[in-house]
Order: sequence, then C-alpha cells, then structure tokens
Amino acid sequence: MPTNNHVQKEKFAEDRALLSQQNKEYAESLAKDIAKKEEKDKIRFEAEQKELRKKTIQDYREKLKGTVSQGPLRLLVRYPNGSRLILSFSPSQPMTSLFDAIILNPACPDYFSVRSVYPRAEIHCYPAWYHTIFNAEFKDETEKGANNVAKETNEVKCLETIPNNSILYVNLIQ
Amino acid sequence: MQAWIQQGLHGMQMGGRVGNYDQTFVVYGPVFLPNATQSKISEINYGGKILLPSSALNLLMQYNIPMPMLFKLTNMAVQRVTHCGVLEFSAPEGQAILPLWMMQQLGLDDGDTIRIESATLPKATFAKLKPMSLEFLNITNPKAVLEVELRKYACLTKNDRIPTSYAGQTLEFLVVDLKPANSVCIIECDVNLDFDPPEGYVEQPRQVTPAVTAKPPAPDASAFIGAGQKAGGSGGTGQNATSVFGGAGRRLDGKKKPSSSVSLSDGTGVSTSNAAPVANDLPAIPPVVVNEDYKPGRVSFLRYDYKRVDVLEKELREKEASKAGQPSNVFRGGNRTLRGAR
Repeated sequence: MPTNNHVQKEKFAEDRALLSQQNKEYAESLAKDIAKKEEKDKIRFEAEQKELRKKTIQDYREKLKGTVSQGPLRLLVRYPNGSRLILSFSPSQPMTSLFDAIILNPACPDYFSVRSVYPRAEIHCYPAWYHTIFNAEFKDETEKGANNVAKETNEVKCLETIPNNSILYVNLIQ
Repeated sequence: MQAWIQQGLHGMQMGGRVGNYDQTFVVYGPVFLPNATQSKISEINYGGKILLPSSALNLLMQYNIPMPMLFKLTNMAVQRVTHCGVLEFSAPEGQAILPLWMMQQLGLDDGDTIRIESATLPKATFAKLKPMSLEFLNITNPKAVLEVELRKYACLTKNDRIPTSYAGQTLEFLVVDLKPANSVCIIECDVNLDFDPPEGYVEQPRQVTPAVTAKPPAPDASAFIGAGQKAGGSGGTGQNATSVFGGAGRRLDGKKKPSSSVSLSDGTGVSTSNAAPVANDLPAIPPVVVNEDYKPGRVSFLRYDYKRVDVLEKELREKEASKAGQPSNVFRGGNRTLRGAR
C-alpha cells in the first residue's frame, strides 16, 4: 500500500509537470501569434487610411473641375514636372482659392507645398481639411521632428499679400 | 463522498445491469441549454464532449460503465455514427446537448432524435489530421496548440471534422486516419501525430537554376603568333639555316600572289606564314598557330568561343561591303544650340 501510494503520487506529479509545460508553451505561442496578428491588422489599417486620404483628394479635384477665376492679380505657377500655369485672381479672394487653382491642374502632386521666389517665402494656402490629411499622411515624419509639417492657412489672409506677377513653385513632398 | 460510495455499493448490491447502456434522446445545440453563458457555449462547441441529463448518470452507474465514459452516437435516420465523451450531467431530462460540429457531422437538427450507447474504444497510437485552412501554417508552435486543444476531446472518429479555437479564430481539422481502430480514445495516451497538407495548399515548384556553361571569348591570336614567331626567329638566326624551295609563284591571270617562305633548320621545324595583304585582297584571317611549349605531365584544354573560319570570312566580307557603302566620316560631329542650358 505505501509503495503503491508513492508510485501514484510520483505519477501525479509527473503528469502535473507535463500539463504545466504544455500550458506554458501554449500561452507563449498564443501571445506571439496574437501580436503577429495585431501587427498585420495595423499595417492593413494604415494602408486603408492612406488610400482613403488619396481618394479624398481626388474627389476634391473632381468637385473643382471646371472652375475658373479672373482678376487683375496674375501669378505664374511652376509644377515639379516642369509644366507651368498662369492664374488670375481678384486680390480680395481667400488663400484657399490659390490652393484650389493649383491642385486642379493634373500636374499637381497629391502632397505639395507652395514657395514664392521673390520675396522668398512659404505660401500657406492649405484649407483645413487638407491640413488634417497632410498631417495624418506624414504623421511618422512629424514625430521624428521632420520639417514637413504643414501650416494651416490664415483664414483672414487674402491673395493681395502676394505681389503681382509673382512666380510660385510647387514642391513635391513624399 | 460518503454518500456517493454508499450509492455505488447500493447499485452493486442490486446485482448491476448486464449489457450496454443504450438510450434515446432529443438533441439540442448548446444555445438551448438553460442558463447557458457564452463561455459555456464555446466550451461545448469547441470540444468533443456532450451533456446528458442526471437520470442518465444514475442509469450509467448501474451498468458499471468503465471510466472514462465514452459513447457511440447514431443518427438512426441516416445511419451516421460518431463517438464522444461526456462533459456534465446537467442537461434537461430527455435531452442531449451536442456541439454544433457534432450535429453537423451526424446530420442532426435541433429537436431530432439520437441513439446513445456506451462504447469502449482502444487507446490511440497514431492519428493523421488535415488542417482545413492555411492559417495553421502561421502558428508559432502548432504542437503546443494541439496538445492543449485536443484535451477537450475524449475520443476521435475517422472522417470527423473537429474545430479548435486559437487566437480568436477557428481552426478545423479533418481526421484522416487513426490507429489502431477507426475510433480511438485519446485520454492519457501517447499519440503519434501526423499532418496532411492543409486544404488549399499548393506545392511550390522548385527553381531549377541553369548550369553555367558559357564559353569565354577567344583571346587574340597575337598571343600565339608571338610564340610562333619567336621560335621562328631563333631558327632564322641559326648558323645552319638554309633556304629551300625559294621563289615566288605566279598566277595564270597575272595577279600577284602573297609571298611565303619556308625556313628549315636542323632539329627544329617551325612553319610560319607571313601574310602580306594586297590591295585587291580581303584582310587575312589570323593563321592557326600551335603552342609547342608543352611540358609532360600537364595538359590543359580551354574551351574558347571560337568561330568557324568560313563564318569569320563571311563576317569580314560583310564588314568590308558595309564600309564601302557607308558615307564618309568627314563633317561628322554633334551640333550645339545657343539655348544649351535648357
């Protein structure tokens, strides 16, 4: 009887150790696979967000199609692929009118900044929705301290702050 | 504990029933279990054990069923069979609660009738499973996963499709083969586990890399002409050099023939051809020169990309023809515009 009891106890301890080992390995495998799955989901989500932002910009272009502006203020815009565009504005128009005219051209990249040659200055003409999209697109670079942070246009600003016959450069940002 | 023992003894004193336990039940899915929680439903659906009423337990005790309790389930209408264990005796009277996969396997709907008999199954020694999804290949430690998940199954039956839950997803396995019988008990046993390729798996074709047998281009013939001429030169400077068969040949049409001479020297025989191209003749093809600097014990054969003599002659002829037809190279060059910066 004592011998049998001892053998049974030993077997029970052995079985319990085996069970514990199996549970431990299962937990490790599960944790690793769940982390892998979350990483994959995150990547897919980021890709979807990127496509959504691109579609928003394209939809905005479609909405703008056909609009023209007239006025005494003449601006020459150069695009990254070398093409040019001469725009006419009324000085009292808001800055977003310049943004609309620039982005309407097919040569305009999805993400861009506008720079004036003389006087040398950055032209802040983003509407609020584009500012949000731009910051979301380059969120990682923003966190790394990159200087690609877009500045929202000042709504009270008008195009009259830009001298007549100015040359503006559109720079590609990616 | 004491009461249970007394009850058992009482059963044995009654003489015990002989034969197998055999009873008919109305079948329901886990959602019909009274007071069922979501975790309870999942526990039942992802395992191979059923719920029976408590009256069945009383009856089973009288039959002295050997542990662990295993049952054979038969859908009498379509004569489909599988085997299972028992999780609890907490089902309503007259009802058996079955996992969904088991109902699908037997072709049962809620409210159907099933026959349940006690069964004795041999311990499994070998099992072959076929994953029904490619997700199985992404598991970090499939052995550990199956060790834990198969604890919820008391037995396996061939051709069953058993589900397991892992990382928020369901992994199904088809029981392809079992030993030593078509239905086996997998409690406290050592199983040799094998896997078929998962459903939808395509074997990747092996990439056969072609053998590299490219020949290097033939070196310039001057490498061999130099050696030949050197030998010839040394022969020419010998004191005993004599000239035999000297002179020039003549053609019947009066054209001049390229001159050639043969020098014969004592002990060394070198044959060289001094090809002198004439105005109306094609450029000569380098002659074939034999390298006589051979030492015993080492023979090397290099496979150069030689071209046949006639092929070479044709190429030279074509080059000559194209050169004659080509306009002059005078006045060739690039132009420049004043707007060169653009």
